[in-house]
This record gives sequence, structure tokens and C-alpha cells, in this order.
Amino acid sequence: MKKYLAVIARLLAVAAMISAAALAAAAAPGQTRVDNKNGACLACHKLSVLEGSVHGKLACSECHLIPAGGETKDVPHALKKDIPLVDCTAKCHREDTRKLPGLSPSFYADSVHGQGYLERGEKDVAKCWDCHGKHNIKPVQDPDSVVSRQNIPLICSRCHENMTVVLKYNIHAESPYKEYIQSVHGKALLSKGPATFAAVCTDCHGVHNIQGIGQAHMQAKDPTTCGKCHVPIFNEYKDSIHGQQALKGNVDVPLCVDCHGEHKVASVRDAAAPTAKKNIPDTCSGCHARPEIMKKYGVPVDRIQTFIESFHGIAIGLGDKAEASCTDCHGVHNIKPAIDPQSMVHSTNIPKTCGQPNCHPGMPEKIAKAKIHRDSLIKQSGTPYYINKILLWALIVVVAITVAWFLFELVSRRRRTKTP
Amino acid sequence: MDEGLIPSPLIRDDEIFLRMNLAERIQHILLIATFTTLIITGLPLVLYEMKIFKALFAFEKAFYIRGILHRLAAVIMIVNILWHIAYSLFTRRGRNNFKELMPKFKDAKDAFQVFWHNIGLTGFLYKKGIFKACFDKHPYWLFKEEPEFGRYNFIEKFEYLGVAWGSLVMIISGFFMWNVELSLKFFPLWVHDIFIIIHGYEAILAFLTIIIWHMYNVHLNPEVFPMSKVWLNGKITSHELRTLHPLEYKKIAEERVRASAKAAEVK
Repeated sequence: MKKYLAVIARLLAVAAMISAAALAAAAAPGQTRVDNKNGACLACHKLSVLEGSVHGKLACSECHLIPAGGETKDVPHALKKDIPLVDCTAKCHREDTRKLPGLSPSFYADSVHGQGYLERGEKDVAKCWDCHGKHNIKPVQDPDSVVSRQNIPLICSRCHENMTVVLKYNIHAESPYKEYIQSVHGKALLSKGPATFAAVCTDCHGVHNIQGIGQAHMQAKDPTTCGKCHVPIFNEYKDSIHGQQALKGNVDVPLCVDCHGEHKVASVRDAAAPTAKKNIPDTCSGCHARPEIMKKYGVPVDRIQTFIESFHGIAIGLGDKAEASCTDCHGVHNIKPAIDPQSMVHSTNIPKTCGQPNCHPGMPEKIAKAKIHRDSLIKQSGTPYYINKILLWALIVVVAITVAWFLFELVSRRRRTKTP
Repeated sequence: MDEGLIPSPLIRDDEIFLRMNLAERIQHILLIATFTTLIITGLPLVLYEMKIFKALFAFEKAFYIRGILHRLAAVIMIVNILWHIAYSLFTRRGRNNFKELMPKFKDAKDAFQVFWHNIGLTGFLYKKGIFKACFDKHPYWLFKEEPEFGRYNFIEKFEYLGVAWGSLVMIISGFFMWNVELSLKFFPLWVHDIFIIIHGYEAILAFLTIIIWHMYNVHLNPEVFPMSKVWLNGKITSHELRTLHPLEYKKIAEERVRASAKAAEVK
């Protein structure tokens, strides 16, 4: 219903604009209106879009800095190339709103876009009018504005889905828009009605102060950025071993985006999500199976492999959802080292962790002393290692003898049955 | 076909004997069904890296259903085994079968003899004239003849005892794997690990034994190819009995001789 009302309202607005223009034309045929300071320009430049723009009342010359006397000359008054490009911050838009970091246009100069345009003179980086529009500038709150929350992903995609731009500037996200619209944020924003609070590009990357990936502590990767909305989870994370280190600036530890993905952040219920149960061992292995990182922190590097070979791991690998994965025992955002008494895998907590209602209720206390990540294929595991070896060789010997036996048996018996 | 034994005049050549009665056939079919289910639902956990098993578990809840089926098949198999034990204890035929199935020294000798007979090395040497005098003196070492088997040959005994031993191992280790908490109450974790290792290896061993030994004997063996129908109708002809189980044939013939003698005496 709302949709239809909006369409009708839009149609009425267009009709009103057309009739107003017709009236103006009828009132003064063949001559410019004296009460409009832009009348002279509009006589040639038919820019009806200015009517609904926030800049509708400005004189053209306030933005288009036509050289002195230029406007009075005969048409063509000046060639386009002779007119300097518009600078929105020359006279206006100089506010320095510290309360809204990034919102002030004054940050543009230091942003990845601003540096490209102002310092290197790149033509295809975003300039004010590429995002905000040229003449039809509308307030950000207006749903029709090209920079309203609903439209921001689309406006960014005009350049960031363009492979020429992506390749030219070596941008690591190749199709952020296509990924975003499939993410929880994109779906919430675009298909589930008016969830305008769902994160859009600018919420994570910044507005006028957008930084490139080379920057240390890039805003979009900073856990505090996610924490602006995901408050309780951020509070858990910041006390975890990963969070503590991340907030100290350690780049080895996983940030939110390292586990959840960047533009295509998906729900854990989505089978393709890196945080879906089946994919969690893979996601953790991104760091925990890499000796160069694990050595640094004294964490054994075989954790993922021993898990994959365990019963839990085998079940997860075959698509079971009820079995324990890394996070079921170690925690999700609140992962702490085993020596921390608050850790789910601290020896005092292990019986409780194993004994979760869906897992092993009634697990004996002595499990606390057992080594969980164990590998019966290495000598250190003792008896299981030798049992494994003995059984393997017994199996090989039995199978070898059996196969040899029956090959001879088959050949000899066939010979006998064929030629009696 | 090498018939070996001279037919007895008391046994007609088209006479049919009962090798497996209905109860035995049902036990056998139950064993096939539960064994197959257990292999299909269990082997993927041992060979979890194989892509084919990942494809098998592609649908939702597949792994959960696997667990249920595995345990259900295990329970049915245990009931079947209990029935078989009771059958072997409390019926005359069952007791007799069990006695016949017990391994004897003759079985080891038979295996040795069949093995060398199949290889045919000594026969080859004899033909070439090597150790000729020695073989003439001890013709046994030529392994010219196959040994004569009774009701159950050494392969059938081996398979039966293999199933018995395997079931025992699998039931004990499987029981503790089913009840992890109970297992860890009694044993340390490394003992539980051994249960898992043994359960896995025994599964592969049982699978290969069945595939190689049993499938060979009842399908691929040229004497019964493409399939011995004993497991379906339980019947064996006197001709098959005479070639495959000559000692059993002899025993029946002797029994008939004795019976007819007795009958003559009574008359």
C-alpha cells in the first residue's frame, strides 16, 4: 500500500512541476522572467531538476565560477573547458562537525577519493557530484536522494562494480555490491522493508573520510566499527584473547571480518557462510593451521588436523550439524586461552563444556585431565599408537595373503572346471 | 568335473538334501541386511576423506539418520546373534552344526594342502623331473588331490568363527562408543580411543573378508558361479554334496547302510 502511495505522490509531484513550467512559459512568452536570477541561464539550460533541489534557490554562478563578465557575453559565453570545475567547499560546506566524524566534507581531501582527485588529478575517482548528484541534489533524509541510506550501495556500485575502475586502482573487493546485496546487511536493507538501520557502505567505510585498504587500522576492518551496532558481541569479543590483542593493534589476530567475511557477511544458518558449523574448522584453520603464526604464540599447530580426525570432526566433515565444532567448546566471540580460569576449555570448566545438555550430560569429571586434541598416529600418544600400527599391519598382511590365495585358487579351479 | 568320490548306490543322484533350514536362512538373511547396513552407515566414518561418502551425506539430517540406522542395525544384529546362540544351544540341529563348525587339526592340514595344490609348484617341479625320486617316495607332497571336506570346509569354518569373533569385538567396542560417558567412567580416554581404533579396523577387516572370502566362495567360485542358491532355498543336490562335501556324503551313505542293515535285521 505504502509503495502505491509513494508512486501516486511522485506522479503528482511530476505533474505539478510540468504544469508550473507550462504556466511560467505561458506567463512570459519569448522573454526571461525578471524575478529569477537564473532566468538567463535557464533560458538555454533547461534544468527543471533544479526545482526540487536543495540548491534550487542558488544562483548558477555560485557554484559555476564563470570567469568575470563571462555570463554577459554572447552565447556561447564560454567553452566548458574554460569554466573551472565546481568546488563545493570553496564557499560552502566547510563545516567541521567533530560530533559526526567523517560526515564533514572537509575530510574529503584526506580520503582515498580526495587524494586521487585533488592530489593526483584522477578523473574517475568519486567527487562530490558523483555521489550527491549535480543539479538534483536532495537532502540525505529524502528517500529520493541518491545518497539516502537505501541508495548508497547502488551509488557506490556505479564505480566499484566497474572492472575498469577495480583493475585500475587494484581494489581488492571486485564486486562488493553483488556480495553486499546477498549479505545479512544487504538483505535487511533492500528486501525486508524499511530496515534503514542495516549497515550500508558508509557505516563501515566512512562517509567523506573513506580510506583505502593500505591504511593501518582501516575503519571498515576495525572491530569497533562493527561494535557500533553489535554492542553485546563486541563487549564479549574485546575481553577474548583475539579481541584484547586486536584492540592493541596486533594484526595477527582475527578481526570480525576475518571470520565473518567482508561484504557478504552471512548468517550462521547460511550453509555457505564461513561461520556455518561445517565451515568453522576451515575458517579457524586460516590462522590455526599456519605454523608461522602459531609458533609466535606457543599454540600447537595440529589443533585443526586432530579435530578433523576426531569423531566430532568426521561428523562435521560429513555435514552433521549436531556435533561439536571448534566454537562449541572454545566459545565464539569469547574465546580465551586454556590457562584462563574463565575459558570454556580451562580444566575446571571442561566437564561443564563437554556436559552441555545437547552433548554429553553426565560426562565424568576426570575428562578434565584428559588430552582432548590427540593424534593416535603419533608416537607420543602411547598405546593407541602401537595398537594402530599393529592393526594396520595385521590388516595389510591378512589382505595380502587373502588376495594371493584367491588369485591362485581362482586360476587353478577355473582350469579344472573348464577341462575336466 | 573331478568327482573324486564314487557315488553310493543308496543315494540317488538327483536326491536333494537340506543344507540350511528356514531358521538358519532367516538368520543368514538378517545377518546380510544388518551387516550391509552397518557397513554402509559405518564405513564412511573410517574412510571419511573419500568424496563418495561426502556425496552420500549430501542431504539434510543425513548424518543423524546414519547414526540411527547404524544403532538400529546393531540392535537387530545382536538380537539375531542371541537367537543364533539359543538355536545352537537348544536345538539338536543347531548343536550338531556348531559341533561340525569347530575347527580341528584337519582344517589346518586342509588349508595347507589346498594352498600348495592351487599354487601347483611341486607338480610343476615333478613334471620337469626335479626331485622326482623324492616325490615318488612321498606322493603327498605333490598335492595332486584336493582334500575331502566334511559338512563345513575350513573356509566356511574360518568365516563362521570370523563372524563370531568380529561380532564380539564390534559389540563390545560399539557399546562403549555408543555410551561415551559410561566408557569414560570406567576407562581413561586412551582406552576409549582404542575402542574407536579397533572398531574401525575390525570394520574394514570384516568388510574385506566378506567381499573376498565369502563373495568368492558363493559367487565367483567357478563351481557355483554365478551364485549358490543355498541361502535362498536351503537345498543342496546329492551331486553337489558329493563334490563339495564328500565326507558329509560318505557319512550319509554310511548312515543309510547302517539303517538298511538294521531294517534287514528287524525283518
